[in-house]
Amino acid sequence: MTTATVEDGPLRPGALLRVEDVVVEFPAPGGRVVHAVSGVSFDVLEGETLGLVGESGSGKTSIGRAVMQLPPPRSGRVLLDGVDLTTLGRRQVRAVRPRLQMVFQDPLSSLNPRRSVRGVVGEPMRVWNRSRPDIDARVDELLSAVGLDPAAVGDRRPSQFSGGQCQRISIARALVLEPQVLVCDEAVSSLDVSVRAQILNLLLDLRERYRPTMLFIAHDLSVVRHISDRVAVMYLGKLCEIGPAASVFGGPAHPYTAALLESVPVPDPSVRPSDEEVLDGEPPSPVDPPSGCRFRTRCPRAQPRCAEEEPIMRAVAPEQFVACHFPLTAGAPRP
Amino acid sequence: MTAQSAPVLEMHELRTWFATPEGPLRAVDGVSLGVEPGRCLGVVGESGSGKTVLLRSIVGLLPRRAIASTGGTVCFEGLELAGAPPAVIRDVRGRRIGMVFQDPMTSLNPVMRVGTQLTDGMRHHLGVGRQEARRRARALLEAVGIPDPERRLRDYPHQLSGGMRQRVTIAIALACDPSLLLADEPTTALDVTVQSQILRLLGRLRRQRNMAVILVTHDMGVVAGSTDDLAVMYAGKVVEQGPTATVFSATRHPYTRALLEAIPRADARPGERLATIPGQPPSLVDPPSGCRFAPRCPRAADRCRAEEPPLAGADGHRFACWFPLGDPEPPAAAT
Ligand SMILES: Nc1ncnc2c1ncn2[C@@H]1O[C@H](COP(=O)(O)OP(=O)(O)OP(=O)(O)O)[C@@H](O)[C@H]1O
Ligand SMILES: Nc1ncnc2c1ncn2[C@@H]1O[C@H](COP(=O)(O)OP(=O)(O)OP(=O)(O)O)[C@@H](O)[C@H]1O
Ligand code: SF4
Ligand SMILES: [Mg+2]
Ligand SMILES: [Mg+2]
Repeated sequence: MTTATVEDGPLRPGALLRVEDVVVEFPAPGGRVVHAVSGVSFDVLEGETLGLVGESGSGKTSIGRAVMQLPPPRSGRVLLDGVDLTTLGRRQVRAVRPRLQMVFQDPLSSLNPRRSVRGVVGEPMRVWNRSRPDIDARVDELLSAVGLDPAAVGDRRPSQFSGGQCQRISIARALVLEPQVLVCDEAVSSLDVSVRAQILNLLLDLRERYRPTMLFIAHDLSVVRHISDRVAVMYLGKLCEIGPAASVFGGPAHPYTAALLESVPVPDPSVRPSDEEVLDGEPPSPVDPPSGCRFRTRCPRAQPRCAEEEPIMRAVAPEQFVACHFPLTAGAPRP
Repeated sequence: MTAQSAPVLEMHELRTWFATPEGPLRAVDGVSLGVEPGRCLGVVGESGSGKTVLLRSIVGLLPRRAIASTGGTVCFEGLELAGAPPAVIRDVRGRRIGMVFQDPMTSLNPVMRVGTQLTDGMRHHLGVGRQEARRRARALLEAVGIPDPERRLRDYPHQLSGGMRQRVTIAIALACDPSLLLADEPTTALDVTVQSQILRLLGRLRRQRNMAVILVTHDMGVVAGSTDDLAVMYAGKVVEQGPTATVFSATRHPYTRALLEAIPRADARPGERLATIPGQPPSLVDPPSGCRFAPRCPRAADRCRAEEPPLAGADGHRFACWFPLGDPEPPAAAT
């Protein structure tokens, strides 16, 4: 494997999960194309948590699904431990599936309402023909790990539980096969603050205990900051910035990251937001994305060059990469 | 604090109970609150605490058949709304009280052009002519930051993005120049950058028009940045209420503190466990005796389980707690 160079952008050797130049497209009416993800690369080291943030429609879920091969991306590579999943046949993908699991946003609709909790959590193991006592022991272990009493809840149905409890059940189910990679897509977004705090604590506990490699997708920046080692920021199908959580949140280099951070309401009444707009307008359509830098139509720093030339990912600080011609860092060219 | 004018709206012991097979469900159970011109009152609380039912009770927008009993008074600009004839309430609603709800699609008519929806209210309530209504509609769309208003007037709601739809519902709510705006989670469905635009817009319009606003949200960040006063609801009751800055900095109710501590703070160590509230919100059909928060409260003592604490305090800061924070701990919890 090659060592990281500027051309490689943010990719590091030896990562457990490596996403290379992934493209996801959907058909749009009139024979047009939704450019949901347009050439995105990142990686996640073993045991690391990468937070993925960005506006609605920026392609976060599409990337998560591409990693899971649900469906495989239109082009690009997804390497798990060096094996490119996109080249595997259906049977081979099925064989690696247990190593990748996804937790979805809406806990209730992702659980089979006719099955008991025990059945729901144990199902992935049954598919893999594990023995009954093995399944029972593992299901008990995981229900306890997510804070549910197996004896009390095992025989009840998901519809009898609250949103937070259902999210615990789907996390238990995702972990039952000891996946190497866990993709959490807005796993806490629909929950109340107090329940959200419980689930976040649970994820932090499970991370210490099982060290899964996590791709944590969320639009709530305070949550992402709290749980991630590294953070990747997306805008309209492109990666704008990636780096250690402390660097990206502490010193955002991409104008979009900066605007995003400034838009987050601070839970402190002494910090009053100014009357000035952080960012004008709304994201353009992914059917017809702007030329050059996709953020340029809303960017306060945009220059003619931004429309002509697409910015490539480059390092602005150790481990911190940004795709912008005029990033917000000391010593960088000013527009 | 500045001298305050007479409240636009004053509720006293407002009560809305729903009929359910198990018995009456006390969704709103004796709420007394007021809001003055030009000020924004925030209402927060967990899911199911009664925030939406409270707003809908003010304007009589609840399914009649579902209601078991109601009580209390709602005085709006000297007019008693509770128990007023439907025609009176209908006239107030949409003219002197504007409303914005979470999902703009539910408040917009999908088969009616934006322009018609904007001008209907003006023509009906204010009796202005077609041309004049059209002119005002254009001005309103401009005021809420919609570019090319002439074209947008001819659009149907589905042709607009989520952020634009919410701007349109705000424009409709403002069409008759109301003195009170009721906003139920107006930005929950939107991206943070668009949320920050809409909140700033609401703040500007409120100041320009000296309009009172009641803003329901569950986001403590939104509350901190956008409200002057705050009411915290728990299980159908207001448990703490006062100037937002005071409620944040001199929190007296244990539930308010729990809500504030459950959000990840920017200065928290990454991976630090968040404070959670044990247990679950109580049944509203058979609520706990005494203080409704007692079963989950770290400070609860015998008195809390026996007697209901009144909402009391000084200088506009009131709380319903026998052993408020800042006072010595109760004997039972101190051991
Ligand atoms: N099945 C589909 N068919 C057509 N377009 C799709 C489909 N799924 C997603 N898209 C489009 O692809 C783009 C990216 O969507 P995606 O769901 O990945 O965004 P996201 O970042 O997860 O957004 P959100 O925060 O709203 O979940 C959007 O424009 C979306 O409308
Ligand atoms: N039509 C109805 N019939 C019976 N119960 C109802 C009805 N509408 C609401 N409720 C109940 O009233 C209580 C308060 O609901 P409400 O919608 O006001 O909560 P909320 O604080 O707005 O919650 P959220 O944050 O989830 O919007 C809930 O227990 C709810 O189930
Ligand atoms: S490349 Fe240009 S338009 Fe894009 S973010 Fe940087 S300055 Fe803004
Ligand atoms: Mg998504
Ligand atoms: Mg509500």
